[in-house]
Amino acid sequence: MKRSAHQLTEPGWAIFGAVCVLVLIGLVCIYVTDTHYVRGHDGPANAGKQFLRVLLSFLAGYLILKVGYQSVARYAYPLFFVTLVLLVPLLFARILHTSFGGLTAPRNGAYRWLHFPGFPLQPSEVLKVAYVIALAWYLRYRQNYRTFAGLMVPFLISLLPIGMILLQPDLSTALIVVPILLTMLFSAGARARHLLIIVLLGVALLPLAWGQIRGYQRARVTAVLLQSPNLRRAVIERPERFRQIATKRQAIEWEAGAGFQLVHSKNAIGSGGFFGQGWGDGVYTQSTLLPDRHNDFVFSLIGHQWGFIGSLVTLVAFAVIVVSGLRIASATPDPFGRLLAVGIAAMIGIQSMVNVGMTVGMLPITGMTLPFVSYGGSSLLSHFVAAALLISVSQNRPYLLAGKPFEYARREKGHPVDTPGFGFDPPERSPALRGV
Amino acid sequence: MFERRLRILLVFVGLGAAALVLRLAQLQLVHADYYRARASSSLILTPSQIPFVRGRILDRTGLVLVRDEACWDIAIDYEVLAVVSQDGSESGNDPRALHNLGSAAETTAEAESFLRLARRLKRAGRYPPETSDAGCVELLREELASTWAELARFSARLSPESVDELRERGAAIHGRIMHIRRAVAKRRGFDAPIAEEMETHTILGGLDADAQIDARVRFARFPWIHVRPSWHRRFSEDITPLTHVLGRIGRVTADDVREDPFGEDPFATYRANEWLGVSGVEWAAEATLRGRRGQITRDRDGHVIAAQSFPALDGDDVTLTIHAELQRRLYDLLGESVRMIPESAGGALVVLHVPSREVLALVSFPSYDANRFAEIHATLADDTERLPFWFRAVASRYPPGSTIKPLVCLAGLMNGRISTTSREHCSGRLFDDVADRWRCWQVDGTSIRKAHGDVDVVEALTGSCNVFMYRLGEALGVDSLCSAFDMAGIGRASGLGLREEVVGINPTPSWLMENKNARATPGTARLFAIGQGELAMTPVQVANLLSTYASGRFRPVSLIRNVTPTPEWTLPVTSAQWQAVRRGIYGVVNDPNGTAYKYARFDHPRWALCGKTGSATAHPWPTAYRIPFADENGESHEAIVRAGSQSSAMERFRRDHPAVTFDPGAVVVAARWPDTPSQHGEEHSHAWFGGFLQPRDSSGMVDWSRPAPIAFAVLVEFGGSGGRTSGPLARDVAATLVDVFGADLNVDAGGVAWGISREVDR
Repeated sequence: MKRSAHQLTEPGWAIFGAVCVLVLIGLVCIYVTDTHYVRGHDGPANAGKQFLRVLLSFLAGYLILKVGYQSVARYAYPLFFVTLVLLVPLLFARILHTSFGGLTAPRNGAYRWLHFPGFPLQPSEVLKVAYVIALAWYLRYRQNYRTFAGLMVPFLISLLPIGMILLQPDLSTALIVVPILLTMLFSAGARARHLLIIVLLGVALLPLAWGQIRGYQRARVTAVLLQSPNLRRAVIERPERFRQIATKRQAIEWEAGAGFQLVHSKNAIGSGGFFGQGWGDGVYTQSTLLPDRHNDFVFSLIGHQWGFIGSLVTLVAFAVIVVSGLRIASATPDPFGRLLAVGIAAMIGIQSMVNVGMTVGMLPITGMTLPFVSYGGSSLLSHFVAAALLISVSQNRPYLLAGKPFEYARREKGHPVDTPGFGFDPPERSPALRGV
Repeated sequence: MFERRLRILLVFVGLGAAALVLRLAQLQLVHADYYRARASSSLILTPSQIPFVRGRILDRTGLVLVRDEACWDIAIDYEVLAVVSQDGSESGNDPRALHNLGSAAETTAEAESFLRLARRLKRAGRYPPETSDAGCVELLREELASTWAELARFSARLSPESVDELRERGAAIHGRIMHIRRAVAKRRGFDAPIAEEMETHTILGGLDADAQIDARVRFARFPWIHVRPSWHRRFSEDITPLTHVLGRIGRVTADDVREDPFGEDPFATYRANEWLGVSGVEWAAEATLRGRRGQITRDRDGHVIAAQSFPALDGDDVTLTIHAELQRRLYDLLGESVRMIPESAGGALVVLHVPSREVLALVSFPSYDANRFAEIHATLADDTERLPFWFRAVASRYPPGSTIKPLVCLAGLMNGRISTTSREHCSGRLFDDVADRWRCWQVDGTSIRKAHGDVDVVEALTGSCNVFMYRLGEALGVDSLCSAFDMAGIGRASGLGLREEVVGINPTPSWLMENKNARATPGTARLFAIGQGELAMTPVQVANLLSTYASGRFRPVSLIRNVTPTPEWTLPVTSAQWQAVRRGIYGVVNDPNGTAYKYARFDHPRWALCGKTGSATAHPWPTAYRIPFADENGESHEAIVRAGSQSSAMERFRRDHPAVTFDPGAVVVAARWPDTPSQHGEEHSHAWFGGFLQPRDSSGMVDWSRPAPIAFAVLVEFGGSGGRTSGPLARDVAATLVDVFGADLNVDAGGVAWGISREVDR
């Protein structure tokens, strides 16, 4: 079954609707937030810019629906390679402290942007989507990840983009790759035991990493802990005992220092109350007190303006995308489509949860955007492409004679090796795929 | 299996979403009020404090002597100041050094601070984004160099200062702030920037309206230079006679912060950029003159939050008891007298209102123009002969000489050693067989020109008979003398409350033992009885002593009006005894035998000048020191350093020649003042005259029943004989008093505006 680009399936319409709601929320937030002290300076202008990007992103999404996700899939590896190549100049810029004539000029000490004229690009945002596509493409017919050794291969492949993004430095984007990988492996049927071992291993290595990350990154993590006034008091009273968590100075200056953004983000959300302060109203909408309130901290502004109701609407919109993504994954018989849908749902779900979690003080503050809502072209475009791929999966269901993929029987006594589920047919031989 | 795993994933999503929703409910539903309150208060910026205007100082007639005047300051951002201050003087002075970034001479800290500032300016868009860090640092260095050059050029119209001087001042501000930061860090337990580091700091002050417009234009291209409104202390015109009394203000130092009397009040505590009184009335009346800072709180939109803002409380005015016109005229009179005597370095003149002991004039000569202090300071400090900074009227003590004799007679009368009728014989010397010591004052050398013969108390005072006093002093003993001195307030603070004040010495036996390791002998008592020896008084104390003679009561003096009256006491002397002593004092001026009859006779129908002359032994003071030293080649040299004391001479030499070493033991006095021997005898002496104006009745006779309104003391340093030098001056003082206060000598009658305009409003 193949539908035309504008004939959406039911979950497709759901995703489309949720994305529209989120984009609209983002636009009206950007419209009322000025990034400078002069009121009316750039809020509307930024919203106009963002609106243009939304149009472009819709176009990109429509094109993807038009060609179908399978056509994109054929270029999975080249696409992944190209985005990796895009990271290379940033890597060199970071190491050599040059900006290649302004192309890779750093912002706030991080080399994340390629300043193409009129089109600044954040390759790590694009990379996330390309990574999901490539990983789905890699895993689609394999089953070696069911063994521990085979499981290592996707992890090793993932190390390359993670390492390159880490060096920018962009801890958050690098770290979001790992949960996506775990989710995709888990849904592809990797043994839960193996994944658990790897997760535990990672947790065990955390103290080592703790010493390796930058001071400001550590401070961001401890800033979440220091929300507790009791802990702050304890650090101030016995600084030598809590040396690993924070210095006495960090504890004393928490509110004006490492905790500044968090304190104000919580103030903004909490002061929204049930109904919120109203569109364009409220302290945090009208002042520039909360940094990054039109991109990374846009959720604080949503909570501030529209209160608990607005926050719930936003969360529900994301939930609709994620649940629809999982429904699409479950409905399609195409193994690549399945993994792609799960990967994209995971990417959007994890990123939105991490972003909201940081604004409410449950997770460390990281430079992660709220998909579809935050100001910024790269993030918007890549998430639109991802959503379009998701819808495209639901629209193109190959007729498969073979059974559904990734259906492995539970290990039972007397089954020494993994066997495919009933009627497993190697999809290379599937005529359906060839016909796409 | 795939479906099941998806369901498991869904459970994870559900758990995460539930956690977020719960957290949102906690923030937005449970604690909404708390966060709403925090949100509205978070908009408010840290309040800033508004400076106050320091109170004015007025004279007793309401003339404004000193006040704060609006002006503009050129201020510089602290971070620029900090960078420049770390910049060594070598690289700062040498224009070539501006370009050799990264040379070995530079410290890493300095390079870092430059780099930090350059990067910040680049981020702010001052330098093109494609410029390298090193390029930005170079641009910054050039800009800072031209900032200082421009400041130096601009300062030419105020008080010319070189780039080095300005940089030094910047370094001093930086040093002061680092000093305070260290103190704060010690208290807090960790080092962190303090508020002063976020502020701008005055580098050039006192600009008038034209100058500030010019400055704004000139410095517009430097964002770290600010021209801001301010206040500066402005003395009235022709303030020289009052300079010592008014005193000066100075920058708050770390010591002031440590011993802050206003430490409890956050709006009155001393802050690093403030001024405070350091001398004179400015210091003494600091608590009154000082105001209380206001506060202005704004939200981030710049709106003032009225509930958290209040205006500054300006300091209160201080009214002095000084009569400015009298002070000026007496200053001129004293100056004339001092100039007539070549070896005289200066003098003092104090006029008191007897009933209230208010100081009507407190003159020190020489003085200087307080408005030009900055430019003339160095020249004045070099004048070690005349010592213009010395507040002689309160800060120097002299033996009171014969002015003490009435008190000695009173002591004798109180103790019953003598009576008003008892007589002593004066043969010109105390011991017939000792020719060169214990002589009467009129004996020149060993030949007796005139002995006093048999004298009673009145005649002894009129003729200032030493022999009478020697015998009386010996009979009383040091103990009795000193208790009488104590009754007259000798050795006590005068009550002025000035920090310059030196308290006189009442040399009791215990004082002698403690300070001189000497016993009180009959000889000591004889010396004290003629006002010599260790006995020492300031001019203001002698004036108060004369007030005590005139009124019969002791009372501390006061310099500031409307303060609680100081306690007073009456001396246990009968009126008959007072009568005898006062007649003696009257005779000094008005009796042909009186020591001042020839010089100080004051013929006025309503007022009789009574007084006592005095000559106090004086020792020339050192004005320069000879310091032998060896240069680096081993050749020995000598330096003559102008200084008033050996320690300040050595300190000055070390400052000028830091590399040279010398032997402190070999430093000797090179010159003294006066450098000529005395004209009037073998020893130098200071000339005293203490007097008061006694009313006459309609027949011209002295009316002892009415109180004397005004007393005064005159001192001319190295003036020789009290009668000859200070006598005529005392007569002129009396005439001036009658002229200024009218024939009634009403000290509260409105004076005449004299040289300065009277102001009602600020």
